[in-house]
Amino acid sequence: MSRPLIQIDDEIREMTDQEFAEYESLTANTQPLPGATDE
Amino acid sequence: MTYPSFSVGETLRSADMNAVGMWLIKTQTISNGAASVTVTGAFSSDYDNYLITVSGGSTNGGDYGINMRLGSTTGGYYYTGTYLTYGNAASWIGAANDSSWGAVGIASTNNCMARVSVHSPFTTKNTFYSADYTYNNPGGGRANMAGYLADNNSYTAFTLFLNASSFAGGTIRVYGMRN
Repeated sequence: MSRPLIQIDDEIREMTDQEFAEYESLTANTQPLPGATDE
Repeated sequence: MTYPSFSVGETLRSADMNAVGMWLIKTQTISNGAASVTVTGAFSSDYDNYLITVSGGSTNGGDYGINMRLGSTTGGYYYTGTYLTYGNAASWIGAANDSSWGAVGIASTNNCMARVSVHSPFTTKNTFYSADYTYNNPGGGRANMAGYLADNNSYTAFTLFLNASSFAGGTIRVYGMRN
């Protein structure tokens, strides 16, 4: 399974191991958005 | 001279140009499929205060808050926000010493919207922000958010990311407010 894409200015690519770990940590920590159908 | 219209060939006097209150610093198109978008070169000594907007585009499935962080900092974010649905139901979210500012905007299957006012990200003191937006899904409404980053670092870049899914286009614009 491919990893999420990260965009830095005009460059877009798959996240590195470190970026993916950081992204997972960040998203695990975010709060649900009230009223949104997902979060 | 009548603001903000200028005629072709008109002399741009410094007194007039120095009265322009907001300048477009950078426009960044969001690529389809990006879960995280970093904008570099956004903040500098030229301005103390900034306006960041996200418009157009959508998500590749689902409605999510757009979260924001500065530079590579993943701690010290404080924020609070209130929500009022179109049915008049109120709720709120907030966090102390979080890993990002949560839900500074909304990315939905219909549209993306963020309007974030950022204060002193480049200067070596705490960075403050406020944001407001609305969303039009069945459970939607409007949100008002505000908070700060409890460090004195100087930042030139920021990152917007979703809790899940990814962006399907959209445009980020960064404006500097004249000091």
